[in-house]
Amino acid sequence: MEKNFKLTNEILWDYADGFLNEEDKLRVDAYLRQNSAKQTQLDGILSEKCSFSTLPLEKPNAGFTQQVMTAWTAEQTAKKAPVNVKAIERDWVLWGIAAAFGLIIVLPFLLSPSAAPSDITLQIPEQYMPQVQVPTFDWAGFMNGASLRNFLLLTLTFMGLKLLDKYLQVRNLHLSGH
Amino acid sequence: MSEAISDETLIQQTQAGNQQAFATLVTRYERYAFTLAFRVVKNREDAHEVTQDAFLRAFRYLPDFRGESKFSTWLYKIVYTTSLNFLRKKSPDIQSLDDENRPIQLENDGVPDASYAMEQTDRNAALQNAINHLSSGDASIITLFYLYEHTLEEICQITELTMTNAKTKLCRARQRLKVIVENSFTAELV
Repeated sequence: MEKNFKLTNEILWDYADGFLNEEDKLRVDAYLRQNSAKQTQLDGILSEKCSFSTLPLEKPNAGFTQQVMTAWTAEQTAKKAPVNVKAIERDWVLWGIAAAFGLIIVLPFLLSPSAAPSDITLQIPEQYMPQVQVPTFDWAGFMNGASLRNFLLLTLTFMGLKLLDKYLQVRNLHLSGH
Repeated sequence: MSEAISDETLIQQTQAGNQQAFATLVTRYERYAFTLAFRVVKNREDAHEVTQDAFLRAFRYLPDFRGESKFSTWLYKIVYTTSLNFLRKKSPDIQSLDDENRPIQLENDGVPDASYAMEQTDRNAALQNAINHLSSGDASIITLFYLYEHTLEEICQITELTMTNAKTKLCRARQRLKVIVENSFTAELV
């Protein structure tokens, strides 16, 4: 037994918990063989450890597993429903609005003279050339036209309704606690 | 006979879309998960909420589970993190789960502990009560190491502590626990 070695309670706990390296473990083994009081103390520690491992576990409320699975199903249903039906519906509406706006932007260019074939002058007899009027597009008329104004008004109203629908959906989700 | 099916098999079945397999895992681990959550949040209702939330998160992230650690270690990490997040939400100014300011009485080596003299049933009751009086950090590390018999490495994975910190915390938690048990025993004798 080493004279300088003092077997403290902490070292005994480390020994019992398996934290000591091989060298220290052998040193404690040697000490315990010659000191029955320390061996008794170690037995107490092991008994204490045994008490820990036999402590009863806390028990959740009855039907806990069922509650978890119900919550999981509810979560999945909430996730799937808008994706499968409503989202696709909404996609079509948004794509429709985007296409209408795209058409408004592109239409004047299609109707403008630059859209005409470049070799068109070659097909016109020369004697008629001065009489040919270059096609123009009435931009001011197009922009101020009642039909465009109505179309824009209708589109904005529709988008407003979609925003309201979105807001109500989000509010319902919050109210249902998801 | 669900106990005969290994965790690995149940995980594979869950990953393949079998919800019943996950229900079996929940039943198998509900008491362990609930006990750990209860040790951290110290309230049955809150522990119930935290444990359910943790299982839902586990189900959500199970497809990402690669089996690099034991399922229990992975699950307890989720339970532990969910419990901590719950505590932080409840008390945003919380700084630490540990009770570093609580004094630890120095032990008198060689003198038998008062707790050793107690009957086994009394000792269990006293231990249970004492663990409930520990801080969340102390109670969870004691539970993980002594009750669930996780290794220090696994505890480090669950709590994200370093090995040295985990060992020190375990040692201090054990000392505080002993003080509480002895005090309660002395109080009963007086």
